[in-house]
Amino acid sequence: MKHIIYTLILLFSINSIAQQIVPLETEYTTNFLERDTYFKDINGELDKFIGTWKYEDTTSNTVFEITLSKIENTESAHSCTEDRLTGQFKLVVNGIEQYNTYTNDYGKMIMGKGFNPTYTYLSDGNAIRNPPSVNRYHMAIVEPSFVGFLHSSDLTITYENNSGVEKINWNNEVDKAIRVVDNQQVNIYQMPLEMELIKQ
Amino acid sequence: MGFTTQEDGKRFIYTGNDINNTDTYTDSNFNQQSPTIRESDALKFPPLENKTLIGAHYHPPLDDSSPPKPIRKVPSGTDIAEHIVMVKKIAETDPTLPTDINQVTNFVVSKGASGKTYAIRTNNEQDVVNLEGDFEIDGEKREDIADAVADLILPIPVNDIDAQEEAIALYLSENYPGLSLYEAVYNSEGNIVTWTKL
Repeated sequence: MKHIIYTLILLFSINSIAQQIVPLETEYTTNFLERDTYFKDINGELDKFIGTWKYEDTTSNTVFEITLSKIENTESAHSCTEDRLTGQFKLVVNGIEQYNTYTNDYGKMIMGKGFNPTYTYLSDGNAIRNPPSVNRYHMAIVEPSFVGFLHSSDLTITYENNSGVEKINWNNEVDKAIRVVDNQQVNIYQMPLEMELIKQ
Repeated sequence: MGFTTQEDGKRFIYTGNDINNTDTYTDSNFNQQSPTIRESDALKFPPLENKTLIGAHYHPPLDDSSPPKPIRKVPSGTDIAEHIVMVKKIAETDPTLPTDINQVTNFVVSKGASGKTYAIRTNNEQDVVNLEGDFEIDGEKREDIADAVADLILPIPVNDIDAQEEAIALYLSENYPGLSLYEAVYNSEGNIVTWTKL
């Protein structure tokens, strides 16, 4: 029995040594291409995004609501793990609910990526790297009618606090997915691709 | 300009009697499979079938965003992840014998006079089989590899192909040593005469 306990302690110690813990926001800066690392939200940089956010457009009578939360220690590239944002959301148009992931399970609808860099493309094709920001988080999101196309979404949410009013600027760049048989785009979003959401 | 902004490609499923015998790799021993969905930087195929041995796809020069962004010629992170998924499937259904080499190959082709042809190959099947995590389409690991490789390649000048090749080869050797990257060498008639390991 003692032998088993010693073995378990030894295994636990080896595992602890194998995976170092570093701040999540350093993933794409000082710790880029790190291996066997837990990118943990030690400094609470995801906290500002957590909560319920709402977009309302009275012209088109559209309401989009999302509640963001944090999931810890999920798998990542290069034998690493990281904390990520996830969320539940719903869309209402003209008073009619189009979908609601709070109450329905449609499959994998949203994925947090991280505090990634962005790129500014020049006319000669080159790209300038813009460093990550702790106020800018990258995700992917889909709607129930085209689950399976998360990879086609490049969603950037940027946090702002203007005199106590907390906002998220939402920009979803979508790679068009074209169905070969009829040349039709299958990932056409009902939710706006660009919007400003207010903290509730 | 007449260029497509979507990828295109095919999978080739082996139908012969000895999947590890390269002498049987004739046109009549492969079924072609076309994608159902085409995107700027991805293709969606039907669920991966047993004995899918070869993948070949085309990187367009520009994507469909406005203004369009150039697409790099070198393999992307999702190309690496796709290769891993195919190797795992073959290893599961048709495990390679100790004297053989896993023959899963993914070709990445780009257009034009400066177009390139690359091939991702496997030098250690067990290394690839031992990789943990979800490399499938929409898996966290696949997306994170795509982001990591993009951040490696995009800051390199678009025309400095040598530096991009060096970066992707180093990335593979450090993170996925079970995989290798080759570049086709063409003669003046446009035929592949040999392959160079990067």
